[in-house]
Amino acid sequence: MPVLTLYKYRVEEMLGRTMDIDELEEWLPWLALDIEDKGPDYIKVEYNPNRPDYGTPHGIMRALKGIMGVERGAPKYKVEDSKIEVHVDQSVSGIRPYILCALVKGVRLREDLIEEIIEFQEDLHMGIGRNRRKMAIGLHDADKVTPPIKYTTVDGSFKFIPLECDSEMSITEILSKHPTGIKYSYVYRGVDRYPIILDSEGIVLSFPPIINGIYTQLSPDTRDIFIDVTGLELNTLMQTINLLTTTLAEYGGSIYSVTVYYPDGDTVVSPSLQYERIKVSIDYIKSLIGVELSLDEITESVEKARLDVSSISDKEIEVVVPPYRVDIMHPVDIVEDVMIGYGLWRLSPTLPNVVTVGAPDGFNVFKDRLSLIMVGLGFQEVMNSVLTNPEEQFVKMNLDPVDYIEVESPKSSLYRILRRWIIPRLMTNLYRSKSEDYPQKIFEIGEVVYPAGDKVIEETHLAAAVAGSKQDYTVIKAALDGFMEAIGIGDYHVVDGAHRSFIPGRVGYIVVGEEEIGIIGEIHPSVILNFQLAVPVAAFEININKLNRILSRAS
Amino acid sequence: MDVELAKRVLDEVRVRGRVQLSSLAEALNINIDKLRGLVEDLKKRGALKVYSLVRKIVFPGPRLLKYRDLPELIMFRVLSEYGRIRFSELGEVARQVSRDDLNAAIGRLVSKGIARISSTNGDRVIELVDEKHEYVERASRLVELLIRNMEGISYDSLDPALQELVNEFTKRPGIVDVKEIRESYIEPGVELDAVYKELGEEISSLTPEIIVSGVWKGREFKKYDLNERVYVAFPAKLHPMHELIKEIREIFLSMGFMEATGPLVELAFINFDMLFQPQDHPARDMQDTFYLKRPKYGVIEYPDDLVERIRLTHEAGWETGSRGWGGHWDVNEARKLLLRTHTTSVSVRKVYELGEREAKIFSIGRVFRNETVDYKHLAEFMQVDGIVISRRGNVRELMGIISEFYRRLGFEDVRFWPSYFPYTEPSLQPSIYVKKWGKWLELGGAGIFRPEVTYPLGVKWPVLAWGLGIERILMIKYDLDDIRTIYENNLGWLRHIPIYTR
Repeated sequence: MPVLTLYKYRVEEMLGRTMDIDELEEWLPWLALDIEDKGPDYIKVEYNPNRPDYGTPHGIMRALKGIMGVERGAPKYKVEDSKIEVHVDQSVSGIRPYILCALVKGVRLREDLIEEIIEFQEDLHMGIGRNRRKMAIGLHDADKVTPPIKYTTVDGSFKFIPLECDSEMSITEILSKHPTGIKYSYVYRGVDRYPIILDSEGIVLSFPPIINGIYTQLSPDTRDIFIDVTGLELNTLMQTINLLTTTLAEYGGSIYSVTVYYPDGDTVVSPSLQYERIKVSIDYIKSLIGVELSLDEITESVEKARLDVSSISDKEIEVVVPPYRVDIMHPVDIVEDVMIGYGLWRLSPTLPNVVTVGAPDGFNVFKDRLSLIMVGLGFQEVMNSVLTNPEEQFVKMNLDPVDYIEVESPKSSLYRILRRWIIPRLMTNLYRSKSEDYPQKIFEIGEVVYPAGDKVIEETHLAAAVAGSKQDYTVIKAALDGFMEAIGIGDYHVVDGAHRSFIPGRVGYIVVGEEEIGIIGEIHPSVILNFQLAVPVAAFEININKLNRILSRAS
Repeated sequence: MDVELAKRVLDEVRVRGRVQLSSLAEALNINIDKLRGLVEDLKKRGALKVYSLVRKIVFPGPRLLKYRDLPELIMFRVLSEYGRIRFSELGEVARQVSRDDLNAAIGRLVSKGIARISSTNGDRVIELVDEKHEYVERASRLVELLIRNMEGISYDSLDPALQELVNEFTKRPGIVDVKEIRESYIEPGVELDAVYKELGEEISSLTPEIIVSGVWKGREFKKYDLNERVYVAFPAKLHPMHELIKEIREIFLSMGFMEATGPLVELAFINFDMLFQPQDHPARDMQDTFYLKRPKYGVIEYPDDLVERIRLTHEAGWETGSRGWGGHWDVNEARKLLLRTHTTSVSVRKVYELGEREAKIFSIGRVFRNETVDYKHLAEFMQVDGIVISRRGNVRELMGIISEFYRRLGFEDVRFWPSYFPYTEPSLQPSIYVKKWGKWLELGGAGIFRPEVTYPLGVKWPVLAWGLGIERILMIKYDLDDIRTIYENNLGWLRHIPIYTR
């Protein structure tokens, strides 16, 4: 999630009074901001991408002033027509079909403010822009741009000077050599035409969403900013340009619209800066928050959340939402804003008046009982992850790695498949415990997962292992006998079997009635060595689901 | 020196005065050589006197064993019966004795004046003259002793008359064997009491022999250092996480919650789409979520109309009053199989299953995130999820349940801040104050399921929901600074960690 640094001097500049970091730390969490870090003159907050309007210190202060009661209601943003036109060429339609633009004049930029805006832009790219694929922004010094603007395509040999360069590069070179080009080249894999934004003199504003041209880049002297936003959906672009222009207005700018002419004859004027009206039932608000709020309290709370109330009655309130609040999609979002405006700290917890009967899951109860028997037999319980690796599950166990479930793109190679039996996990535990006193006796009850054709099978197994000199088949068989007797299965036997993880002649399948439920034996010395152990190990593993079914049939 | 054994030896000597070493070894059931070593030590310290005696042991000889009697005594008894016997009849009446021995026996009886030989009608006759000769009495006594004690009798234990007889018999072949045997004896030494004291009057380890023999009577037991650092006997225990899970289960059960479970491998449909997580949400990316390589897709086993409602809700809000996420909802994305990223998948299954019915449900289980594993993060961890379905559920009740839950776990201070999750609104972030760490800790999320989640499932009532990580609670309880410790299962850690006591 994006992180933003608020400097004390910036906060005080915007608030018009002194404010120390501790006070700020008290307030910010009430805006759903997480405090990441703080110092004597700064505080770092993490905000959720659903609130992109928190992407600049101005955006946060806009909201903070609301709950502090310094400013109330929805901020008003005016928009005038810049008369600038953007013409879209047909050729972009299959590649990156949409563009919207805007002009913001009279922005007071300083080095530190440019920094803020660039960070905001990057956060938008990550969040709404989904790493620039869905949407990307270009900011330009409007003085360097000569309208009208053309949005068209070029081939890979087209050259211009991109940012962070001092000589021309072709599109193909940018995608393969320029660091930013390499980073976002995934957007245009397998494409031979590339979108480009040019002004009337052929100056390259942007090669979206990869990189801008160097000629129009912002500087501390920039006062008027020309914005382009390109992407795959018009809605997303409009949200973005509304967010950008209203934010830049907070930096002192005046907003001017730009008209985009699409080849099919459609024209779109942006930013729309549309103030949406949403009706919410008063009862809905009160019942969800759980407080008998008066209409005045609701109005005050709504305004503190920087929304306007256009009308209110006993039944319903109509709320006006400023264009930067792209997160609001349902009346329930207004309820939350009322809660935030009212102050969550004012709500007292209470227990629900819902009478229900509690009951544990039967299978979990069964598993707990089995655990206690194993503990009684002197086995220490262990808990391992289901995620593991084929080396442990198969290779070290002398088995061929087949029929297992693998996950896509795991970050750690140790955790890339799902275990299909538990004994190898116990072997790993024994390896990690090799400097502890012997004998060692451990068990685990847990899930195993494996594929069966197109299906995924999940089972719960009990596995137990004993390790140490003299810890042989007799020891593990005695434990299994004791376990079986304790759960009331007297009639079971072990059928000779072959299994490469175990010593031939000392391994068998555990059978109850006609049903095979598990395996028991002495671990093969080569397996013991594979796990870098030097003591005998004997183990069993049984399918607890089967055991449960057998017991329920019997009862 | 085996102090306990030494004391038992001294005990024996004290009670019995002189003790033969070999019989003592037998009584104590120990090796004679070990006892000799010990006795040698005690002798050096003046606790014992040791001396050895040469004993003559008399064993029956082969001829005696053959007849189980002396030939002359056999002859004597025959004579006692008949009074007189002709030589020609001897073979008949004393068949068991050889002719040579018979002649010698008659000679011996005659020379001792017990019988005499005479002639009648040219026939030689032997007749008894002294029926009560003392030789007969003594020899009979000695023979009986020898036959009864095959292992030999001590020469010294015999009275002088029998000793004399033994001496006489040694001159005859095959009647007796006399062997000389060296025997060690111990007796109390002058320092016995002092040494005994040095060894400790008290009994140290209590053995079955000490209990049964009564040696313990009137004696003190050696005092132990009761806090002596001995070896530790490790009890087998449940894993601490299991204990915590049990405790959490108890808390929710006692609050009237029903426990639910669900699969680890879920459809994206259930894990994300039913929870109104947009299909292009970054959390759905492979970077964050584990998708299965094979099988890649599962079957959505829900009615088509539900799938359709969810599609419509995602795209444009359907009848929920929402504007939706826009774009195109792809059923193939929803069919993807993944490892559940939260137990909220279980909760949302239950919402659909139960419908608009008052219910309180919880579930505890493993969840998965494609994280780089480090001291703060795991790729697989435990979560507890809960829901309350009721007609007028509200934020304060949600806060109430979570506060109560943490209070019972020992965290009195619980705070709630606003937060954001795609599937809840309002959304809360509960935090607990950890006294010993002096800071607030966030442990999960809570909220009321959005109408976009519940309406397509047929539920218009508010559904309070929360999902809390529980490893952090264990870390607080046990002051762990590395989350990986929990599932490393190092036996040293598991053996030494105290049980979960809250």
